[in-house]
Amino acid sequence: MKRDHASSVQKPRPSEMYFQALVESAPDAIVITDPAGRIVLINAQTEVLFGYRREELEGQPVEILVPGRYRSEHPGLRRSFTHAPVTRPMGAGLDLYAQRKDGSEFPVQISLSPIRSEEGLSIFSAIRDITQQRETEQRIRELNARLASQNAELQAVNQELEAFSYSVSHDLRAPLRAIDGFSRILLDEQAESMDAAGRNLLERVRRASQHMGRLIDDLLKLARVTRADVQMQDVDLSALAAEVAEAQRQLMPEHAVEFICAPGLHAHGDAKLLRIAFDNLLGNAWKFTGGRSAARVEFGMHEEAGDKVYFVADNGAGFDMAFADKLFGAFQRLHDTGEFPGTGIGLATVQRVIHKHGGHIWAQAAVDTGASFFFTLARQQETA
Amino acid sequence: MSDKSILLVEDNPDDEALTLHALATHKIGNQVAVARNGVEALDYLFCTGPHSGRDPEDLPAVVLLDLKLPKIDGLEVLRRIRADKHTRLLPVVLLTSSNEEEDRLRGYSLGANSYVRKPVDFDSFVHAAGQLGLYWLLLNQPAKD
Repeated sequence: MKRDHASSVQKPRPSEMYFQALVESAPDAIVITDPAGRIVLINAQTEVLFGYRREELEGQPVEILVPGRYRSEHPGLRRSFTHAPVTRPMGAGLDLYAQRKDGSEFPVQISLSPIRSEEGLSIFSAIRDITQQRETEQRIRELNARLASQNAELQAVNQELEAFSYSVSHDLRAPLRAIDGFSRILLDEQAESMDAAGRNLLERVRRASQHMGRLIDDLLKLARVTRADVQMQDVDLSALAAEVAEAQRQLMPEHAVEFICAPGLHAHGDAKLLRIAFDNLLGNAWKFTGGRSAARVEFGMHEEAGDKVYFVADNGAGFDMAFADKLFGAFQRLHDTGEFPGTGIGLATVQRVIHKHGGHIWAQAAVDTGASFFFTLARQQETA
Repeated sequence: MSDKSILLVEDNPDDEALTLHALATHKIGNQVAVARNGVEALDYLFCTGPHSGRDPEDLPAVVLLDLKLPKIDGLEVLRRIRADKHTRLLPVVLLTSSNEEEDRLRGYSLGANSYVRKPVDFDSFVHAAGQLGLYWLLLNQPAKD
């Protein structure tokens, strides 16, 4: 570091050497100006940021570093600072720019500290190039804007889905009712003039329209689950399972099922959605144990590597694990409609409920032995 | 049951035919008046327009009202029935395709007496129509004779 004073002849004191080393190696550009606003001292980073060699800057008015359009007002700003000097840290909320030797500008943050010496008031300034920071801020603004517009679009889509579901609820059912109804009336009133083959054809028409009615109902349920806002609360899973099992018993009183329910199982979740999941899982368990003389359905939980894994298991018809990946697809069925009626939407609905809770669902089964469905719910808050 | 009647408010001609048939199965077919939209229904009940010759005291024992109607929709018809002192206490059964909770809530809030979903399966439909007819025409006691 050179100085053009006679004092350069003296050997620098240890504290001065310390100071010089600090300034020279500082990560920010350091510029010290004298009371007249001339650059007295700079460091290596100043050379790097501004593109000058220090000989070119020493003795120059500090305005050389200020963008052209601000140069005329800068001396005035310096004077008012000198009048009431305070330490002004970086990030004081000012939008500042500096100018390189090649004339290009870059955004900066500047800290100012007044230094009193025998010569008067010098100003110690540290200058930081914040080009990178500005770019990051801009990117964040752009990402936020995109997020906001995506959210708006999602809202619009949800509203459309709502309107669509609503109109499906009314408009698709009416013609189905007509198909089923008039076929029935035809069967009733034209019974004598129709042979068994004719009656059979009409019965098939009726069954098809009734099946479509159930498909519509299940699709609507699936859509409702998708749209639903999850409302989390503490849910008594054991009580819920027991209620749903009782409802199943009343739906199919001739079918005796031994239901084993683990007591005291609680979880954090949406009660309505979980009920829909149990309706489907236990409904399936009841359905697929239809042929069993000693039908057995169980709901319980076991811990696996710190996670709570819940299960609904039955000893019914089961399925071939080779088709396990089709299990949760909408409209996918692994059984004959003649043997076991269904729309193929139930498990897709359960999966959606489980996913809404941040959990997973999977199954294990063997043909004619039974099936077990395992699921987790999101990491629960531990309530001691 | 001979002097009691039903007003069916239904715009869909298929549903109208099926409902009449179902009611007829239970021997109630001959006392059903049909309005095909909300305006007709209100004209009938308030004895205005083409029904200005009707006797205002001659009200049906029950109104079977669909929610989705052209011109004035079902809920608006219900609102106006409840707003008029002649028909304020008239039993209204919402008979409709929708089972959406919002529709049920709105219907009951506006003073519907009952909400029945039209099933797709005709046998169930006949059964429901029979139950409705028998209940409202035979069992239920109206506010006034």
